[in-house]
Amino acid sequence: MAAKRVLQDEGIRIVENVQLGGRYPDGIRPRPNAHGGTDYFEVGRMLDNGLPEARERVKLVDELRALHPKDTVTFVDRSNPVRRITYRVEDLARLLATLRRRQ
Amino acid sequence: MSYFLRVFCRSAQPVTRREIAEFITAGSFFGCEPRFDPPPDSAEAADENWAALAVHYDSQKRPVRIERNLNNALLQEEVQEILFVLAKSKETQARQDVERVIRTAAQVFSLEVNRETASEDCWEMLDSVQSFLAEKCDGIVYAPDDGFFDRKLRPLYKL
Repeated sequence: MAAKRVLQDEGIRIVENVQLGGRYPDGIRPRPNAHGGTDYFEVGRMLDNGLPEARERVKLVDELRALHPKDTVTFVDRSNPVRRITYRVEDLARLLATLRRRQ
Repeated sequence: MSYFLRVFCRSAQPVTRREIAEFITAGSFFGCEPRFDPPPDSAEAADENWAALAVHYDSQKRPVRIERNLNNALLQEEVQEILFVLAKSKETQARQDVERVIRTAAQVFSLEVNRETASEDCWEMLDSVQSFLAEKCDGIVYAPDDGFFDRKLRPLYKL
């Protein structure tokens, strides 16, 4: 897949069974980020509005709940890896709101 | 990358995690018996209200995750997303039939798998579980990027 190759070219390690909040991210930056945290990566389908599809957002919610304050999770559009959205712990409420608005 | 197969069901009839685990075990899809979370003999596996079941079929690979959503916000959100995808494709009677089922779905099962690393055995198991769930709950199968299939996995509408 093109998006994973792009991540690998950026030095991201593609992982199979590393757990984060009971979920399994697609990639990890091998070195700590500028704040000393870990950067995780997910590859999937991004909607035209720039949000990951709903099922991916549910997965991201579980992952954000397990993040440390300096960690990030970046969602990368599988068909256009330039399109990305990075989440931190403090984005949890915002992400949850996108899943509740139809209730 | 996660690939989410879905079974959209007209019936809200509950299927417990124990039933699904027992179906997978009986199918002998893998060389070694898979491990389930929760275990099929646990009380929670028999609960009719549940959210997720993990199928650990290979210690080197991420598990398959089966989720169930019953008439909730996520189901409604997914319905809208899939109707949007369908609206971009050729309008036929088959598409209208599929749309009708999607719009009126009472529950959805999602089967999450790593598309690039899942084994042949795993895909065989997924096909059987989809068929099992679609049969039990009057559903159709949605394979993103591919199309919609009936309970016997015969094509209904190709994307």
